[in-house]
Amino acid sequence: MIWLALALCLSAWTLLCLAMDRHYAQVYAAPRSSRHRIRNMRAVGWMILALSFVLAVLASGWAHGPLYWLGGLTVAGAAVGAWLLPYWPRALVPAAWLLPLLAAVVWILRG
Amino acid sequence: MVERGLRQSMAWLHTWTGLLAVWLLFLIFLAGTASYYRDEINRWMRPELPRVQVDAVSAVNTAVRYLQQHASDAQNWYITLPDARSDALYLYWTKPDTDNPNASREDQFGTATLSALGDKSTVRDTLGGDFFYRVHFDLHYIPVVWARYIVGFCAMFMLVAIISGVITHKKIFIDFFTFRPGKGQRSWLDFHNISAVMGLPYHAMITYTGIVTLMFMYLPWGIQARYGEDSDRFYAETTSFIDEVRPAAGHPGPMLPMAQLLQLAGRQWPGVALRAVQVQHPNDANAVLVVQEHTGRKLSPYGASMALDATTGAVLKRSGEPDGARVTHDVMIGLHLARFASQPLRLLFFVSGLLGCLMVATGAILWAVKRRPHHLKTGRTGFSLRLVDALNIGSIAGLPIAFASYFLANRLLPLQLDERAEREILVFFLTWLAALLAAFIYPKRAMWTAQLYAGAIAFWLVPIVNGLTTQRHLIASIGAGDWPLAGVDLMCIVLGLGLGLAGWRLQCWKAPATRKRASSAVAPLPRSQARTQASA
Repeated sequence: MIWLALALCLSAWTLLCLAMDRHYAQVYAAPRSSRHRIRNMRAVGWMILALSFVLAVLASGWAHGPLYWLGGLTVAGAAVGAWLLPYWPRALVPAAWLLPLLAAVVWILRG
Repeated sequence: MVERGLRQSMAWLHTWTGLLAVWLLFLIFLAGTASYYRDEINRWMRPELPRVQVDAVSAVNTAVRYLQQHASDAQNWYITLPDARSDALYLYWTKPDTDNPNASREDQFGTATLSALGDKSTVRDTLGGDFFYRVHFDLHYIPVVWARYIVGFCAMFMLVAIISGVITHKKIFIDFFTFRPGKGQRSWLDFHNISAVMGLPYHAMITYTGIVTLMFMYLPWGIQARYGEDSDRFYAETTSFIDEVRPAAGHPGPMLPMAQLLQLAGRQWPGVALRAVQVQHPNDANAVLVVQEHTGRKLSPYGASMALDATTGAVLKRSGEPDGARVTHDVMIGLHLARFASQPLRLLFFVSGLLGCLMVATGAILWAVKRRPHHLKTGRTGFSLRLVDALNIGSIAGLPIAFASYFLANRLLPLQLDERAEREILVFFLTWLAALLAAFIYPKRAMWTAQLYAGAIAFWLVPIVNGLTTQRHLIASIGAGDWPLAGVDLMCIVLGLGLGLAGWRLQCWKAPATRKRASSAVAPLPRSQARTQASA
């Protein structure tokens, strides 16, 4: 479960990042998304951020959970901002879907 | 200082508190980050030690057998037991001359590192990963007290740099994900910002808790006000560490067998794993055995202690329940040490630490990048920029070479060398010194490239030399499923890749004037631009 929490950190950052015009333009041809979409992305982004915190605490308790969460946010944030966005923008959204999917599969199989 | 707004004063403060401490901070950050894998590096640097998991009783018996043979007259024995991440028994004892200020260190205490199995394998003399741990607050070659004050100042400068950096970063939310490579000074600032902001919880935590570990040294007046000269009483009252329970009787007395004593302790503490045991006044009639709890996954690194009479097995003393202040203090130190961290969490800490190293490095480089146009206008590089350039190259590119050299020295120095552990450390510092001197002689881009490549080669050599000189090489470790040990070799390869990539990019880098010239018609350059190319 902790891997799912960490993977969701990346997804959350991706959504919050794409809700910003300058980064949306980096990934997609369009200069900005519709106002409706932006609001949704932001809302879902924050929700996934909160969800990743909840999962981290459920997986590792109140002592370690928040540490995992903050560490996950740091590493995922650096990956999004300093690696994927500038060098590999088309991989950003696939990564944001694939990593939690993989983590969920591992969780289901491993228990 | 001219009348400025808050942001500008914070920017000034950030630049100066950052710059004055940055090169030492880089060493502290690098060594501290490496210390997350202190136990694994210890194992890597003592390849003779077999991979074992023994129970506490066997381990203690092995240790006591050795200590009776080599240190039966010691004042105290300290035995740190192996756990999931470490294989070795670490022994430390204080000799009869320990309170004599004129006695040498050799006459005051002794140390030994043993295999927990007690077999006769000779372990090479090395400080291992403990060197990185020690150097990041004790430095080396200077009295420990001076070092801790220097490191403390750097840490406090870092804390000021963090806070002033956040205040001065006007667009901290707008620029949250912004990194625009290939744009010169803009890119350096972007990366410095992103590595700082993404790791902000970590950087603030590690710096603050680092200061807390030595807070009684930096701010002793509270204890002095309350306890006067008797600060020992403060520690006795508040820590879980049990100091001397009773003075030595002066005549010998038989101690109960360790197995029996540990069994009695185990009855008082059912199911508790032990981290360490201490024997006060061994072989004396008043000998005392102190057992210390292993904190496992608990955030606080200080477990409970219990003292037993070594001749009768009766419980003499237990450490008390820590109060709120103590728990707060202990948890802060625990967060810094991260002993509780599982391997995945440890990796997150490690990557955050590396991010911190990059933040520090890009900050120093940014200062030079910003200042260079001013110096180029006058046609010659001023003293301050030359100094910063040299220190940057020698530290940011030079220290990684030193780290790799330390590992290489561990494998290449003769096993029977006198003072071998100190010689390995000397290799580390001599390499760093060589890098600094080379950088001072020629603080230009070519030196950056050369040192980055040197670091890459040195790191790639580590797993190779490991394979040529020992049985515990990467293939063997992976084959045995020993991923923590394989991780050291793998991380060397990864770091080598990073350094090599940086060196290669730098080698291919072209000054903007050159790029423009190549694409436009052949026209002579104005003199100022020609100088730009000459000094690049």
